[in-house]
Amino acid sequence: MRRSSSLLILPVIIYLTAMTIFPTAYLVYLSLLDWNLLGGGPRFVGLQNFIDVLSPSSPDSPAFYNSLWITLAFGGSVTLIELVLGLAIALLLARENLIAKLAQGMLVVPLVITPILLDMIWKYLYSPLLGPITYALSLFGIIGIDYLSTIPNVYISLAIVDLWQWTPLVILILLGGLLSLPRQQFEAAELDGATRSQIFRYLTIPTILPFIIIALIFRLVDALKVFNKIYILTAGGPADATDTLSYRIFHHSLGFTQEVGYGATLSLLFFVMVIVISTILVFSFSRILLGGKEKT
Amino acid sequence: MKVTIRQVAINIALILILLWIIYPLFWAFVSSLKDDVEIFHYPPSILFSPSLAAFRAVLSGDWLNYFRNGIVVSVGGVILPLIIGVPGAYALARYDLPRKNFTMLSILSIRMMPGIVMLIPFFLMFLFLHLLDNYLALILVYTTFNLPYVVWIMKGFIEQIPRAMEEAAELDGANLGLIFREIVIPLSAAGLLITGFLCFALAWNDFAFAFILTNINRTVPVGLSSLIGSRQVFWNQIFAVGVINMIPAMIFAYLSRRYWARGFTLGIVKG
Repeated sequence: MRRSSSLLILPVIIYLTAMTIFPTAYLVYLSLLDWNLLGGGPRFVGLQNFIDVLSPSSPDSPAFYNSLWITLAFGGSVTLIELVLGLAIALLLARENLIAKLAQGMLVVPLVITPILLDMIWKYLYSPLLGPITYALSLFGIIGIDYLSTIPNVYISLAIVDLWQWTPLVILILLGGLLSLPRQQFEAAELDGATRSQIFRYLTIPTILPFIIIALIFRLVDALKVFNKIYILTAGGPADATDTLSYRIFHHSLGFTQEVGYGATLSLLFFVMVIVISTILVFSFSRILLGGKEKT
Repeated sequence: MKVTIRQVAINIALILILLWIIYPLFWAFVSSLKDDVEIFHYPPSILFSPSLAAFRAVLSGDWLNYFRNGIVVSVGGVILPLIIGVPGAYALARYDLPRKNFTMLSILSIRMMPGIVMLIPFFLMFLFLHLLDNYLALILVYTTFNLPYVVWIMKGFIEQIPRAMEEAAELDGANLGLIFREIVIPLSAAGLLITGFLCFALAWNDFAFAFILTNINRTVPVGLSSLIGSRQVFWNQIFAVGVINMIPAMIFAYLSRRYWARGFTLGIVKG
């Protein structure tokens, strides 16, 4: 019975293998083609797509490197800000207090709102002609700000939406850690005359470090994938200032132009990049991820 | 005295955090009650005579289809992963499988994979299989992305069931099906509920795949995106859909709030 029961895992493995390995192999094949769905091809071109994307002398490559840089810079920045902000707010919320309890309950709301709807709400708030933010700032004499179509405003505006949406997740994860802190140790430290900052540095941070790492992994990996926000709020613009890799893949292969060979090449490169980053993170912290972190 | 000032400062900060969360939602709710003229008023009004015109507009015609399509693919995107994934989670929780940690981490890496890279292969595969605009295509896609959640979260919940109960049942001659029905499923009900809700939300909220793989059989996010493409954006209708969309999600999310950190991290942060 034991041996046959362990076969219960097989359907999972077969399904996931079929739905990921096969499409990935297909992606590799497509990346070797020149194929425009709107007409033209498919024609086998070998590694030409990779040369077009990567070679510094090709006319297409600056747009790709721009995309790569924006993806990494945006993903890295919002992750970092969300971790710092999330830790600060989690410390505020980790107390028995009516308002704190209420805020803890509200934190799940940004996580369950349909992301594309959330992006539309912010598009309305940012709207230069109708938007409540425009009006609110005009009361303080601040007028004529364009939130989404000037640089660097567009980065700040997008980051704010991302912070609104995902800082709550970081807070919830870290609260899990803060609420599990061993209380006696803190009382002992206080009795021994440790200052607030000493307690924070030597007791709080080391204890919740696994939770910080979990939040970091999930946020960083997801922030690199940002797509909906770009599609709704900026369409990659102004110019190509917010043309992240996800958006570029979509836009070139199934959106405005339908070069699936080129798009497959971009997809493959993006895939490898995210898998390398996440595999390094996942396997270096596998003990934390597999062990599970208790919150009581 | 010093303590009091600190308390006041903390409470002010907490209230600011609450307002920060509520602000966009407040405008979405208020704007959904505006009619087609009021919504274009500047400055945006807070006091106005509320109208249900936007709700009437989106509770008729195509929108009813979008809601129905969303429900069909999301229910499919919950049931199929649960059927495949829960037995798998049980095997991982209870048996010493070869290369167990590697299997777990590989399943986790599918959660980490950027979904968008599968857009082109899935589109072409379903095109050749004549499954575009078909519920089945979306259900198969959502099952792929939901399975890692099911396996990881349910493994954690099943591990918390005392093993002695299953061993006793086994000694009494119960087979695996009976053990599943009488012990595993009832005792991990909270886990099934939170996993099911999470899978439902992931399918319901998906935009990229629904946008590419459907044409007439659109889901709600695709319908929403079509409202923004038009020359004049009727924000009130967008937010009316939004309110209809948000209220059930918010109620369920609030009731299950202590499980959310656990759900989103695939059970790595235990609740």
